[in-house]
Amino acid sequence: MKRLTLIVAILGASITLLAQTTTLTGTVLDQRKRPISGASVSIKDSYDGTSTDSLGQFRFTTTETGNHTLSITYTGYKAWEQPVNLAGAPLSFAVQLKEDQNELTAVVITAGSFEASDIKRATALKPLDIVTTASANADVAAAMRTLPGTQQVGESAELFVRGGEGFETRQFIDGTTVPNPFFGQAPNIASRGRFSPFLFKGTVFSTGGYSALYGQALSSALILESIDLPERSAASASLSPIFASGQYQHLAKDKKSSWGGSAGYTFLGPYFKIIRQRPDYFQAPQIFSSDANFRIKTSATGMLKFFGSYANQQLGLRNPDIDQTQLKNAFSLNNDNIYTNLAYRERLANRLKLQAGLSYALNRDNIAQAVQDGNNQPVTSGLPWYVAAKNFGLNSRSTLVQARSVLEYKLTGLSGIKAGGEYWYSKDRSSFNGRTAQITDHYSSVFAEADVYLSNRLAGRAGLRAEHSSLLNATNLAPRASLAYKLGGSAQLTADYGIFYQKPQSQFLLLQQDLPQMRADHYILTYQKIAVNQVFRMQLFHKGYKQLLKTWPDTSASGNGYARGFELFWRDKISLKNFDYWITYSYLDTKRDYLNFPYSMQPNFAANHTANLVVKRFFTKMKTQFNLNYQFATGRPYYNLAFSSTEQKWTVQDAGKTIAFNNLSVSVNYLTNIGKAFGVIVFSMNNVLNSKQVFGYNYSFDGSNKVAVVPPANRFVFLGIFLSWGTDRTQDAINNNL
Amino acid sequence: MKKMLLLMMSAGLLLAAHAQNEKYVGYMKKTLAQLDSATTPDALQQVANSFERIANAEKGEWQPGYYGAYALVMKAFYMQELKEVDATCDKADAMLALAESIAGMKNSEILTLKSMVLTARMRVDGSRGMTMGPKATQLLQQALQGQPASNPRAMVQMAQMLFYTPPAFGGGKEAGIEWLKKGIAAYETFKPATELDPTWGKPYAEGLLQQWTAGK
Repeated sequence: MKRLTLIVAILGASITLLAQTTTLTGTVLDQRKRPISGASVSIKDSYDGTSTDSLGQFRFTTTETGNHTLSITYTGYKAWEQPVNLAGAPLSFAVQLKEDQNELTAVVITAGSFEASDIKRATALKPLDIVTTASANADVAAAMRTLPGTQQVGESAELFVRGGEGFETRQFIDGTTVPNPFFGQAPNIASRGRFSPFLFKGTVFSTGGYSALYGQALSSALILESIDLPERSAASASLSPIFASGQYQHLAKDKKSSWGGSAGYTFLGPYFKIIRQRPDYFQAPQIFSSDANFRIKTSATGMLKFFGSYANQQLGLRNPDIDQTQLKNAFSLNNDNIYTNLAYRERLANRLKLQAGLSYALNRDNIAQAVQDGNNQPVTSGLPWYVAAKNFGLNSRSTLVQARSVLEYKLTGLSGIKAGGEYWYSKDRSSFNGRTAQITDHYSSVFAEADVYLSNRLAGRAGLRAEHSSLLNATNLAPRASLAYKLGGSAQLTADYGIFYQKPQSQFLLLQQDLPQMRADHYILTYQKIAVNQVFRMQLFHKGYKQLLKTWPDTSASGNGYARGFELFWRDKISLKNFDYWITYSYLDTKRDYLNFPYSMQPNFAANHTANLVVKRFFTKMKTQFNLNYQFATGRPYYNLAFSSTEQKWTVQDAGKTIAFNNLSVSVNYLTNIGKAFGVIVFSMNNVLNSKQVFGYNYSFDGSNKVAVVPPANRFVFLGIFLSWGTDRTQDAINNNL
Repeated sequence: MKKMLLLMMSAGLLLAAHAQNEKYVGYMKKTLAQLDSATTPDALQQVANSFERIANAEKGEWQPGYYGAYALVMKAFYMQELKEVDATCDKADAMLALAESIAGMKNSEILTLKSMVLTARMRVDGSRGMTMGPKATQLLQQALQGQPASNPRAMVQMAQMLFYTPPAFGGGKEAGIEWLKKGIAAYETFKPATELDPTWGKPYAEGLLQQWTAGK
């Protein structure tokens, strides 16, 4: 009986407990005391709760009793929790939610870069943009030439950034450097990049002030991230009058690994027959290229990727000799290039990530030039020394082996630390007219970098890179720093600083090794405003050059220079319906005293004003995209530097400025189905307006003959078709289900 | 006495379990009614909050997380501020991941909604269609092979995906309309497994068919 009473008593007690209600009220504000509406307020693990109203206020009652947790959450803010004792007495709360630091709302450490990826917010160019930029013909570097800070140097494929020479921009794939990113080049005729933009999912183009993780580039870094596993197995082919190629990618059934490869053949012979070239090509450019890859998902967070490519390239052309116009210079090039890259990444522990890479690269050039007579027969005797010197043979071979690893440790929020090291083994051998020289360098570096987010508005980055070159017997410390402050809305202000070192080019090191590294100091101030479909960016920069290589009066590191200017970038995808366009303007003031310059001068690759207009529009009904690109640059300086035997020094015999550079390019992409393949037909034309383009002038030895450096043809026209077959037969699957 | 006590206790437990289930169903029905009348982003956020509370309390039920995500996807479609779409979709994906951990990977309703999250994300930037479009289609194909079979919501989503994809990319208006008709027919025979399983979308599909076939 006693027991029964007890049970009844307990039951009774629980009934009263059940009947008891507690009222909870409160206000939810953000850090700046503005109300947050729509925040979720709840008693954890119960149904009871509510949402805040437009004033950030809430009120609800609960039948729960005893000790519980009150939880308040809202997207973009850190969750707020507090223990509460529900005993019937009303409870009131005044809550301030802290902004959660995430990539969408936080200030961005841009380090002077333009990012091109689908994922990140601070994007200027996306991978697809590279392919649809009219002037670029799907060349990564050429597409970057529509961004501010780059020069229009039509006679080279390289990127000339902010008063820097082409070699001052370095390309990296998955962290390791690509020593020869471009195909071999005949004098003053631009080649193009070796790698298709479709190999990469992300591109970061930094025109200065970049991270301590990268080195050996005085001016700029083009950081490419290769794609992971493909979406599906697919075959593709491309065909045009100048090339044919095929590619296959196989994705394993369990979607954890893939392999693939491609082969291509390029030959410009027929094209040169239709569109006349100024040089007389006895061997039209011919390229055989191939590559292979595999990618393995080693765990939920691990990925191993291999990419390897081989290409052979040949070309040969004749130009009139500048000193004796009845003679010709016959130039020929045979190039072999191997590039391989093995990249591995894994999350080692909760906050710890590893990125490692191994790379092997080999480049072999076989270059010869012969002085020929009117019947294309070699002339070796009876020539003045300055003409005879144009008979030469150059065989060079360079090898680069790299190993690199970076550890990344995440602190709270977005803050984190990266540290790592790399080692490059390089061997260059060069044989000029039978005289051979060889250099070997062990270059190593260690680096560390910390990103510190003090709040959602203020972030800083500090990095340090230590480099040692055994060949130069030089050790250098390169500090880097960035500070980013969010002004409100989507606008932010960034300041970047850094010291950058680069070894002199191997053609100089082959002759002399006791040289220090060249040095550039960057100071950059950036204002940017990024909305979803609009980007505005303004940059001010100053770059100081020290220890540049001088070749006169003797080879030394006594050169110096500066570059300063400002740049504007505006991209807009919404104001004009269906149009996507961007406009850039770059102002550059630069002078340098290097090589055989008699004094500090504006180098011949630098124009003061450069502008770009890129417009794209897709017509859905016509399944066609039209792209247009107008590039403009003011004239570049040119000099006739001649050695005066009376004064015993180099002097400027003649100088001037070229005419302004104008280039209107258009391209059309038409999407279609051919059989079971998805196809894109591409037509493009550079210099549609047939503007005269002069890149500079060459002078004869005595200075009496002055010849303009012009493109090999006024226009480049391209027509091609790109086909792809997805082997998962998406469409078949859909139709079968009907 | 002991037996009696045991009996009472087990009866009590059963009663409690039943009451708990009744409480769950009751709350769900009430919140589903709120979902039906929610048309503004703010209202949808409130309903999503309510479903999230239920999802946090009922760790064995997939429907609260599913409906919470559904409310958020709708919010992502309606909201003006494009820069907040991704954050809203992230939250929806998180709730769907929770629902999937309970219901399994072959739940047709969850797979359909995952595809809708991707479609909402494409609002932010049209060029995302290149990568997200095929992924969304892939999810719908999985949804069509999942359970429940003949899911009309998966079919109507597939219809919209095809209708708005240019033929060059494997879509087409005709194929879209065909799938829409198939979906509307499937609504007639579709029987939800429980009273809380999804049944939404029929009036929308019928309106869509009128719109697509108007002037033909």
